Amino acid sequence: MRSEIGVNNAIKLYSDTMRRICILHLKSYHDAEDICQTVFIKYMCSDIEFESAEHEKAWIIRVTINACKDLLKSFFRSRTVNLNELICESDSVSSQSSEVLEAVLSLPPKYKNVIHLHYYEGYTAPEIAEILGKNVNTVYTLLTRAKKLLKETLGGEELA
Amino acid sequence: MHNRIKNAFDGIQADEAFEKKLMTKVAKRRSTIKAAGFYRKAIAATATCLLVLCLGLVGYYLYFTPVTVISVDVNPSVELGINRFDNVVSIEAFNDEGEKIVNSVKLQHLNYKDAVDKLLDTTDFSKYAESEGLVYLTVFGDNKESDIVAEGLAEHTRSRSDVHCSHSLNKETKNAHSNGLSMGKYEAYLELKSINPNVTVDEVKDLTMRQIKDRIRENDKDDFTEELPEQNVDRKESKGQHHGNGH
Repeated sequence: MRSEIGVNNAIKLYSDTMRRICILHLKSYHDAEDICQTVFIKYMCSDIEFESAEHEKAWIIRVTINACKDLLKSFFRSRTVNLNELICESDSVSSQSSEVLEAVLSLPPKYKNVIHLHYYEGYTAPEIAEILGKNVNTVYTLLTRAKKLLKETLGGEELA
Repeated sequence: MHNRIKNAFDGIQADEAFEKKLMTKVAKRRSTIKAAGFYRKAIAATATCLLVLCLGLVGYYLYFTPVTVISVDVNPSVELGINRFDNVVSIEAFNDEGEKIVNSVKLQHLNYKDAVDKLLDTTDFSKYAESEGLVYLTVFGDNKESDIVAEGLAEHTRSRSDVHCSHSLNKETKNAHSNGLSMGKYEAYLELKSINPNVTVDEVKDLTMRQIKDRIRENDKDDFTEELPEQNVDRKESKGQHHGNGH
């Protein structure tokens, strides 16, 4: 079992990233808290020795995405929140950002991860492929299609 | 656009309260897991202790339960309890002479052959054996182990002309101890009693095995002279399988 200090450091380091992933998938702050708790307990109990901080972060992201998928599959999950309600919950989101966030959250689930990991976390397509366990070409295709969809929604601006 | 997406996601953050809540919940879960681990370990340790205890008890029972008795009788009467592993696990004397011998020699945990050799070679025992001329070794027990011990003992003592070895299945010998006699001596008493019903345990108690056997022979001779055929049948009361040297 990992030390309390180690787990608390990981909470400080990764809870932002995890919360974003949870909101992307579950659209619920309450569920995000549950998922973060589950993932950190798994992290605490895990014996995996990470080669680097990057390796550790990739593990956290993968486990969080899987936990979100499991919850979505769960028969008992009934908490769903309207997008506008969710965006309003976050005070720090400006009206312009909320428009983008809404656009991203409206994307089909398969595109959300690649957009988040590429544009926010700064991962390359091969890195995303490794984290998500997908083919690199598939990731490229998902990225292209997601960009196209966002462009249509947000008014044709170029995505870098 | 890159910046717009980044800004949009920046709005979703885990504030300090969220992190603290997480830390508290994870810490709480840590203590639960630790407690569960402790109980699991405690249960496992208890189960292991119980298993060891049970195995120990079973082992103790198997080792220390005699399945065969070797009654060694001259004048001193000594009984050796033999377990299923052919080792001596109990030694009991039935008269003062026997008591003296038992106290002078350590036979516990020895193989029955070694124990009998050691017992017969003691000065006290050989003294009686010489004066009486014959040592009676009687194996008691109606089981496979007893058969093996009886055969082994007969084979082991075959070269000794001063030893008579037999295997008895007589169930009446279970009353021997309550009458203060060894099983070997009690069987000889029963044999004598079958010929001469007036004989009592007290009369036999102080007799040597040789003397009891002589009385049996004498009575037997008288019976033949008086031609009492039914007493010949009584004489078979002891259903011992006799083998070895001597008679």
